Amino acid sequence: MSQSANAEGLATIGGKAQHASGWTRLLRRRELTVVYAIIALSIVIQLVNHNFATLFNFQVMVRQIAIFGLISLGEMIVIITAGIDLSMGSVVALVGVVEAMLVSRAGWPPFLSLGAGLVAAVLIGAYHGVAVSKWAIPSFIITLGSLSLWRGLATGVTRSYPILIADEHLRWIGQGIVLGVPAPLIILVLVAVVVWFVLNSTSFGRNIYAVGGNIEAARLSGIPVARVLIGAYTLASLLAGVAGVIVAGRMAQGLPSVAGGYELNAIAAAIIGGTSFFGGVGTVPGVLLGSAFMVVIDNSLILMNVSAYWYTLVVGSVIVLAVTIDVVSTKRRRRAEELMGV
Amino acid sequence: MSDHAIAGEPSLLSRVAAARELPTVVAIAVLALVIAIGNPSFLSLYNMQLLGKEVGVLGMMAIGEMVVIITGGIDLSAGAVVALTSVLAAMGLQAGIPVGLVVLGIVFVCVLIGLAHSFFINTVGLAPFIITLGTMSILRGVVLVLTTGYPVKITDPGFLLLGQGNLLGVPLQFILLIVVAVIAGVALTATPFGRYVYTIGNNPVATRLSGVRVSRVTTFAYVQASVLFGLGGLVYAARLGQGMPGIGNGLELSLIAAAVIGGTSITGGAGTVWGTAIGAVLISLIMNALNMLRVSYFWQDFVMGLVIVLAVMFDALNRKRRVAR
Repeated sequence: MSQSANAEGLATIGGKAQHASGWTRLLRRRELTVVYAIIALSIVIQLVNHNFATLFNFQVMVRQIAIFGLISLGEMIVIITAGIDLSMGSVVALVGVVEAMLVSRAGWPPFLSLGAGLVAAVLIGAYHGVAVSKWAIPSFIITLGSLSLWRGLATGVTRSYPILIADEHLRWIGQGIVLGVPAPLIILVLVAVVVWFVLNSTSFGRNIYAVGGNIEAARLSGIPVARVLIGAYTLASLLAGVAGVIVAGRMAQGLPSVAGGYELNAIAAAIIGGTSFFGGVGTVPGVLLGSAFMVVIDNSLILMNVSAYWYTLVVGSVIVLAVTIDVVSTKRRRRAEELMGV
Repeated sequence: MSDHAIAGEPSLLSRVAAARELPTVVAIAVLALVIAIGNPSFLSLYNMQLLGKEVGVLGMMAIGEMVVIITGGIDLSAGAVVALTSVLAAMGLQAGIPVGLVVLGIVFVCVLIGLAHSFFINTVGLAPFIITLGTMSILRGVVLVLTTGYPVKITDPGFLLLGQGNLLGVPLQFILLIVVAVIAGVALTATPFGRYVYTIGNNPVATRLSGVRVSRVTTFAYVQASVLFGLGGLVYAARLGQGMPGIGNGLELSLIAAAVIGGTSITGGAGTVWGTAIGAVLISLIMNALNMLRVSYFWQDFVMGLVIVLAVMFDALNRKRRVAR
């Protein structure tokens, strides 16, 4: 068991052999399954409600995919390191509130306010990374603290009131359209390309997989584990921060109660996209498809006139189901590898 | 490593326990003094009873959470279970089902929830936090679907007594805590089951190799936690006179904080009933202080988050020191 885990860790450290060409990865079975699921679900919804396949509905969904996609990519990075981040939704809310307060109350220039919001996200992520790597606090517990802490801070400083954002540039980030394509989607694509590049073509990215695959093997092979973890958590919070800027722009306000429970969505999207809870496994295209799947489910419940209350139930069930499949298949694969003497 | 938590040497146990819980006791005393000076009505019988109620229900549930944490697990579904049981109880009573049957039914549902957690953790192999996070979402969804978000009224006077009644001035739910604490204390320190709970948390593999049926012990841990959360839901429903779908949001955080403040190690293997009860007192006092000192309601989540982060950091520091020794 430990031997195969070692082999896995080393194989990942060993380099790109595992992540060969882009197309084979795109066509991996897991991702294809998600594509089929999305198509099948879409057909069913379209049959029930003809408003599904309309330009308006697609634009609505695309904006949502952009926001969920960013958060899910961040969640994926942390899950690859065999950790979890439960504070995503709260960071989204806090960043929006920081931006709105600075630009509307303190009179800061718009982009400085935006930058300050992102800096706050980076600091939060770095703090998570330090807590996990240096103080050996379980990731779910330190980020659960943050879930309460940062939403609490956003609620406290605003006294739970929304803070309007008048600046047009900041609004454009959430509302703008370029040649028919919503601005948030463009941001998601750019960010996804960067994340993809970082994960696959930089030593930092490969180290993230290595640490998640087998932290001891990674440490023994000289990888600066603490620095990698701090980087991973920081990147994750930063992505949540970018989502926060988009959400704030879209609603033209910093709203402390926004994005509640988004972390659950992100976890579901990441796992559906093939990210493994054992760590060391996860791809950008897979997680983007996972986010799309979650958005289509959300959209279908609305269009099929099912009460929005069902959504929480569905998200929970999807998480349990997806993680169960992940755990069972990983165990089976490891057992097979052991038998083959890998 | 955490020898003080394992039964056997009472003199050592009491000495280390005293040292470990001393800062919490001092914090409680200082905080109480500050609140009393800031608002004399803190010491009124009414407020003391209010505090006793909160300590009672919070402490009872924190003990359930603590047992799970000692085994090296976690249960994040506490708040959702509380909401579900409070709503189910209210609906059952409205349907004319007798109180005894309603309580039995709730306990049954909670046992099922605990068994489900145990199945996914022990048999399937899921991490405790992810399956309980999943059930948290699922149960919250069930509550919302059942109630469409509206509270359900309770009028049965016998049932309301559970949350509003006093015995010689002491709130019934505080007495409930004492009963639960005594049972849990005896079970943890004077039975083989209790010893296994600690050894599993310290070293599950060694415990399994020494012939203990680990899954049986952890199953019981998750079941008792769910049942205590369920009882907490009944108490809240009786206190408020209604089943509230939105109740218990973030409750798991308070429970974990109470346990960790009381010396429960977040990585398992250490924790005492007494310590957790003290932790529950501090948490309730902090919440009471926010009201008494007229700190805005909007800062409550922030304070709660701060408390858990500080408690967990303190625990991490302790663990490091223990390892260093």
